[in-house]
Amino acid sequence: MIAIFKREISAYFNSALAWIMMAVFMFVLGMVFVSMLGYYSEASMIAASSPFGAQQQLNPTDKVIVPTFKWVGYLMMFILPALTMRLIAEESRQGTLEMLFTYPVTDTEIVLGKFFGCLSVVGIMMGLTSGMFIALNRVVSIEWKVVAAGYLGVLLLGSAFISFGLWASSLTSSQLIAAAITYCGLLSSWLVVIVGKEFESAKEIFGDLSSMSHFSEMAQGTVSTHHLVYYLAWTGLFLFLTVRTLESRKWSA
Amino acid sequence: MICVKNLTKTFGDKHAVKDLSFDLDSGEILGFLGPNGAGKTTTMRILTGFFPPTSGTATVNGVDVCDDPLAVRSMVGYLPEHVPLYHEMTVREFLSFAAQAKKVPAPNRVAAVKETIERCNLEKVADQLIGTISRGYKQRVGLGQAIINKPKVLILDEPTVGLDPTQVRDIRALLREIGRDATVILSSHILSEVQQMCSRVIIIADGVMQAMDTPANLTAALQGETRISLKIQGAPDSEVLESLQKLEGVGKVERLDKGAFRVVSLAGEGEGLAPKLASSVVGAGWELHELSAQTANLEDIFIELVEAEKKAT
Repeated sequence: MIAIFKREISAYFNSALAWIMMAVFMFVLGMVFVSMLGYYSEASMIAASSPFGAQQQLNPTDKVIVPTFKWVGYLMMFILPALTMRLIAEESRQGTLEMLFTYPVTDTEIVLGKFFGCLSVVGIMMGLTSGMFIALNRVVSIEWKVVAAGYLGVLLLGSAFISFGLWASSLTSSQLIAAAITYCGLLSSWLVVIVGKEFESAKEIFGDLSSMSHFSEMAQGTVSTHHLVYYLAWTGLFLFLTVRTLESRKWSA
Repeated sequence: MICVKNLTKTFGDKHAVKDLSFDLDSGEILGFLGPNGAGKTTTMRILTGFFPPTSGTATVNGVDVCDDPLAVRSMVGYLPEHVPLYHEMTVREFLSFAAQAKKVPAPNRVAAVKETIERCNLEKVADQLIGTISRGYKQRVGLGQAIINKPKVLILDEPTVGLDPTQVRDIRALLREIGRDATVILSSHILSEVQQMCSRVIIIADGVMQAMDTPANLTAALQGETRISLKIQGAPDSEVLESLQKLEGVGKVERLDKGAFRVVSLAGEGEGLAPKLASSVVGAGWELHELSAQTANLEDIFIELVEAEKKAT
């Protein structure tokens, strides 16, 4: 499993893909962060000149960090399919999957190696964002607990999305189709909230089904078991389905 | 070393391999010969633990491929047909990946990679990206990943396909050297290759074994039988056909084309038939344009067996 994990990471950084995705991610997030910071400083300026300013809730964590993390969630939805699409599809197109299947490694090891390889790239990407919060902390003090909850949320959301992308990638030998399936799946997992709006009585159920509503609660600093269970169950389900899909492909090979 | 009993593999209602049985001792080189789609790759994949057979058993070194595919995989090195490799890795990186994935213990890994690079003659390209090296080198890298953990059994699917003659010669030399301390199974549709390299040959068509023997025995079965092709002009074909048939020692005469014939001798009477044919043709006053004699080789046996199978079904 370690061998596959290491190869996956080196494959990401040997191709332009990981670099481009990281650059796009950091660029967009940097813009978001700066504009949030702009709003915040303007708001605090107004508050400072008004006699009731002290009564207003002007907290940099709520005004800057929480919205930034929400954006991380949206960006993940667009970046992760591009990162996961090649994981298995490319190997099956090149035929290297056939070779891996004759190595003394189990299908589960192959799947987990790839999963953690991709998750590490997301981890590295998120590591880069910590610079923003450290810089902010030098000016105003921020609540690190909320930041930690946000990072945990990204980790869980990332795991869930990667597991889905990995499964989509195991279904086909075309990266494009894998990416398309992943985009459709992830978008519908988010937009299921809209369906909920139509049914007043079932609104909560649909809200709980949505991948993003769990994440935005975590981004606000709430960590509760049902978020953990939701994402871990999702990740487990799709990793399991991926192993099964690989197995069934061998039977029909 | 390898024991295959009544092996059958079906995909849907299609038989890929049907009731195949053979035993292989260690140190043997077995050649799988057959047209495309005959079931060579399927049999090889079963032996590598890639997928289990539908029925029947296959054991490698006493371990059943169904019971413990991982143990089988660690004893078997496999080179798939189209030599799949990671093009974005260098040769050295790829070989160390293979060594680690095949569970070569960490302290021995560097040495194993170094030795494989030397054995496969890859020094020149060791630090190049696999995507940029030639077909012949890729084939050797493919062989390298198969032998890196010194497997007891080596299974090679069409190891020389798509190579130029010099590269083919190099690969064959390398295979012979590897064959000294491993059991080798290779598939091919190039008959001369199998004839030269293998200690035993299995001819397979439509998933069914047609023959299994040493290359020498297989050719001996048809030896003493000579085929002579003739081009004769100056008489109607039917007349030539009839008079050739009457000659002593002639088993079968076929008309291949206008004025072209093939004469197959009776077994054991092949020698001396060619001059006899020549003098009778000239004696009859016909023009003899061409006469050539061939002794049967593996190719003829192969074609005969495969054609016979086709007629039977």
